[in-house]
Amino acid sequence: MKLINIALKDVKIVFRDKMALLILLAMPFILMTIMGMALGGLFSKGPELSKIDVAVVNYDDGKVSEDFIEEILKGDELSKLLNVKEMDKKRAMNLVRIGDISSVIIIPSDFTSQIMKNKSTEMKVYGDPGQEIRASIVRSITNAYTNKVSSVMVGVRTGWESLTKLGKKTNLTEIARYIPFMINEMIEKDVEDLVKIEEENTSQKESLSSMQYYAAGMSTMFVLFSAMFGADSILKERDDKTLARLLSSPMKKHSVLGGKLLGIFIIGILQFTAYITATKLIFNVNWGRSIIGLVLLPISTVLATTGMTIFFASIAKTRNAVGGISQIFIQSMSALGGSMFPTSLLPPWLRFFSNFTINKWSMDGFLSLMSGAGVISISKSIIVLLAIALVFFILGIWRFSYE
Amino acid sequence: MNIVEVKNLSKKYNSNLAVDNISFDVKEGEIFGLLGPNGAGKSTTISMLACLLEPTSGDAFIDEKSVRKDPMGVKKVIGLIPQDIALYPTLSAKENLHFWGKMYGLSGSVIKKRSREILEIVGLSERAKDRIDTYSGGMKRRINIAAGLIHRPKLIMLDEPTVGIDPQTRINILETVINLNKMGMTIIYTSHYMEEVEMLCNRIAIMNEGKIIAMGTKDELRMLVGGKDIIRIDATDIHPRTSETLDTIDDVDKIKIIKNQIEILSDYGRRVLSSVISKLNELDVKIDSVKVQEPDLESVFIHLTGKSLRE
Repeated sequence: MKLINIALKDVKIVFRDKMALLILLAMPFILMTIMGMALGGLFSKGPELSKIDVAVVNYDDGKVSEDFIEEILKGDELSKLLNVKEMDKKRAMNLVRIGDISSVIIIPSDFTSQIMKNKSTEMKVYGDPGQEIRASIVRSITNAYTNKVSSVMVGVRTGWESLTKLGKKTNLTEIARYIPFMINEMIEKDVEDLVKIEEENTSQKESLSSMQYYAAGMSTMFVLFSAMFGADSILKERDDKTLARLLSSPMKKHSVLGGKLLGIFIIGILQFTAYITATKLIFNVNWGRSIIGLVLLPISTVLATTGMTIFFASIAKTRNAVGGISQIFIQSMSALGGSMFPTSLLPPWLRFFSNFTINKWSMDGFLSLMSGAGVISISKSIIVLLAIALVFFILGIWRFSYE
Repeated sequence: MNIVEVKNLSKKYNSNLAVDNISFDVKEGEIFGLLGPNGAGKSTTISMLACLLEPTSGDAFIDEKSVRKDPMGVKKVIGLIPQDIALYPTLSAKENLHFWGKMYGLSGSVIKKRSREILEIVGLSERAKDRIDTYSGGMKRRINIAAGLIHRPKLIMLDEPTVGIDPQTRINILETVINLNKMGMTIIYTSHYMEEVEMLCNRIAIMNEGKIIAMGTKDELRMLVGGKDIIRIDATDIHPRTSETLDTIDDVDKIKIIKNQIEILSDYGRRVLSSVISKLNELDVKIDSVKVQEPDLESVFIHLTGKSLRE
């Protein structure tokens, strides 16, 4: 109960601080509006800012499947859209289940041999229900390819039957041996058809607007600022001796700190609630359909932020230092993590570092939810955010000095 | 009955011994003073008694509870009033008192009743709903004291409450302390202002460099300088026979020469002064300054340490 009183006192103090309110509540909306409108062109090509991750499980060691993977999926055109990884079925199914990849293409062991015998065969595609749009793109590409293969096979059979009717004796198996070559020839001429399918799909799916992107980006970034205010508030208590007074009351040290951190947590949750509600009402931003996702993702983001608060308070010796350290951390995280612009604009080596930011995982989760994904698809984001929170809490509590 | 018993308490920071094996008792209902210059170890002692710092060795018992073994029990019976204004400036006096009351587990109705009483005591009832950052310095000091009283502590510890304030506010605070004591509260009062401690405290411990160098009532402490006046003369070229010559003057009881300072104890300081000066002139001692001091805690401190409380 005392812990809650400390937290509520901090919330009250923040609500009476006009500068804090300006930064925590007004600034995000101003920036969302400016950046959402100014950088709309960046999103005009389509909402998918990142490539679609696809796993291929290839049981076949023949030429047709090899050509499909190397020439088609990893070819010049589709490599702009797809990120193809070959792996075993167990791992692929596991990754699609946790939402790490959108779909799995399974090529049977007799794929090439059946085609070369001009007999029917099929590839299977499993998609993550949470990434239905991405999965449907992969399914369309695979279908388009198999349709091409079928038409070649039908053409070969029709040709062979016609020749047989005309009395020309030819061996079907002998002709079928050339099917892989014919497929390649045909696909090479019509590869645009496969890409066109992808574009059609893209235009049909729920489109992520620049306003949606920056609603998620600025919300995450400005929730991080609550860590700066929180750390400053902890050090202010220490400087003003209210911390000493609190510690001289019948409370344990960690309860006092717990109360302070609970206050930061409540402020973060109030921020997200305000951002989501206001952007929905003012800009009609669609935050997706998953209510559970929209509850769990802000909670895990705010927990990571709360952890960062105690980390800042533990490494900064003065309140001025808190301002400096927080700004460096928050601005860097926001730039690297996608709050300011899509991470796809970063060079690959720099993109690697975005994995260590709160923004990246929070943004990934929000953008997935906005694209129609469910809570299972964002489970990885939630787990990583909770892990970040844990690391910050351990480091912060270990280093924090009450004196 | 003793409400505070301090036994061989020490606090060491790395190689610096901030409090060095001190022991003292405080009786229920008295005002006990800790007098000493800045850095003497007064605040460190208070911090250990308030369970903010863990002693390096020794122990202290407040209301029979050990600060080492039962800090929660100790915290319930003490009220710490720090030197700084340890309040939330954007909250009103009422909101601050409510918050601190909650920290001691008091119910809303009890806090409401006590807040009214305490605000009356410190004379701030009219400004109860105003934010602390709109208060004058003196008002802030008074509400700072009020926040330490909300849970009706048996023992109040005031750590240098009058540093950096105007004379009128100082008088208000000293009056408040006396009133609280009259209401039955035991008080430990730390200060480097000798006059305040002399005026308020029943018993006094004088601290210097982490140690208690003297302790007792005002009269007992004065007796350390024999209850006599001190003539303090700063001089140069002090003749080797100075002490011997001054000793021939009637009513001069004791002579102490430390470097360039001659200290003479006498029951009649002002009367013997002219004889002292003429004897020094005879010895060609060059006199820089002369001061006659009636016995007070300052003279006790100087007598014991050779330096002033404010050095």
